[in-house]
Amino acid sequence: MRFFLTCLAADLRASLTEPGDILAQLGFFIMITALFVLAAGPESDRLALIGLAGQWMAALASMVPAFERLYEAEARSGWLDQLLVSPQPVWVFVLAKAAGYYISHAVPLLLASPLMMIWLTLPLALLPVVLASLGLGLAGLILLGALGAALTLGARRGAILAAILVLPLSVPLLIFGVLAGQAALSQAPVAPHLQLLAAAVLFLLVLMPLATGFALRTAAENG
Amino acid sequence: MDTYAQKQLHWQGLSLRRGGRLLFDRLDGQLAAGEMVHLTGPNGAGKTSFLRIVAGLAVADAGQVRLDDQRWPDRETGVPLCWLGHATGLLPTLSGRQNLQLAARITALQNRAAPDWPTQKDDLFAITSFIDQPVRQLSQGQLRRLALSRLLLSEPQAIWLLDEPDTALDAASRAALDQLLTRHCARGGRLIITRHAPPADFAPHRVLTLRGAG
Repeated sequence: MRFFLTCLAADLRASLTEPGDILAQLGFFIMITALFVLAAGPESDRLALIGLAGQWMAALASMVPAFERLYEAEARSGWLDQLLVSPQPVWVFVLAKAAGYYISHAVPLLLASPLMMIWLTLPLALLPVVLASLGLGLAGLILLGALGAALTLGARRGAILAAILVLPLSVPLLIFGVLAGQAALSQAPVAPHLQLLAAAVLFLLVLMPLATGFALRTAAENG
Repeated sequence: MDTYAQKQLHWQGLSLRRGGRLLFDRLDGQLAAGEMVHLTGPNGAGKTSFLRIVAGLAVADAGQVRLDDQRWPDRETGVPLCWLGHATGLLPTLSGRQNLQLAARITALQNRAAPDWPTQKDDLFAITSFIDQPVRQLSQGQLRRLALSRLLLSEPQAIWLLDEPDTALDAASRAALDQLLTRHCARGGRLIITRHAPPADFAPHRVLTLRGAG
């Protein structure tokens, strides 16, 4: 636990020292949503229906390109090697890294989402559902991205490779997340979709850190 | 934790191929407590690869490294190991002090990395003047001195694997490094080191030469 907190603090400190990444990603998210609104046209009843999908696409598109750089500083500085020769479990570091990434990269998107909802003419009554589904979905996406980044560490064109690996696996998150929003929009029960989404995230939470730790060790062995 | 001092680290039949070229073939050897081994050989002979295999960061194509009859490296037994490769292992966005504290956490030696560490007495590599600056602002030599200061946090009988630790070091720090290496082995620590230009008075107990089969 202590090691987890140490890694988390180091990661957050690193993110705060170089906030450019976070701002660029947030800008990208806002831009894609804005383009989506312009492309879909102003008729507001249609926009609201596809707006949910648009918000998810914008979130996915803005998150995925940055995954490649998740372990970049640790790998290039040799810190990862130091961790791998140490008695500390690598999966704890992976989990701390994912948690740090969630706080620094997913939380800003969640904070910006009410504004995006206004653009997309979504009723603000939907805000709790959107926050819950997007919040869970982004957690799952980051866990997948952590694995994708580890598998493509040191590969040329790692960003594209990681995206190709991660995006298909994120389909269940996308479907459950959008369904939850649509159910709320048509005043149907939301809970089943959110529960399925939460189950998917829990599954990833158990499996991904171990798999990612293994992938990082393999990357070092081949590096 | 005391028992590993009597145990021998040995490697048997280590073979490694890189890109179809045989770097070393059925290499046997051992490293006893207190022993200082200088690993030499021409560029590309596989010195770094050999050290990475002993550190458990790479896997040999054949053969194994063992500590007596135990699997090695076995992170659970807590045999301390310090690895210093070409990369310094310092996170660029953290300060030197934060990096050293993080390193101490990783190796579970928090007690040595008190907030005021290193004191004047401990500061072998004279890092106090820049220890609170972010690491990315430092020069190569300063980075190297910070990385070497990690060795000061090591347990006395640890196994040190140092790959060209002299790179970018000034004369004073080289002297400090030699002093540290001698002290480490005198206390029963073990060391395998590669250095291209060893100082004149460098006296390893043994020289291990990789000839480079290519």
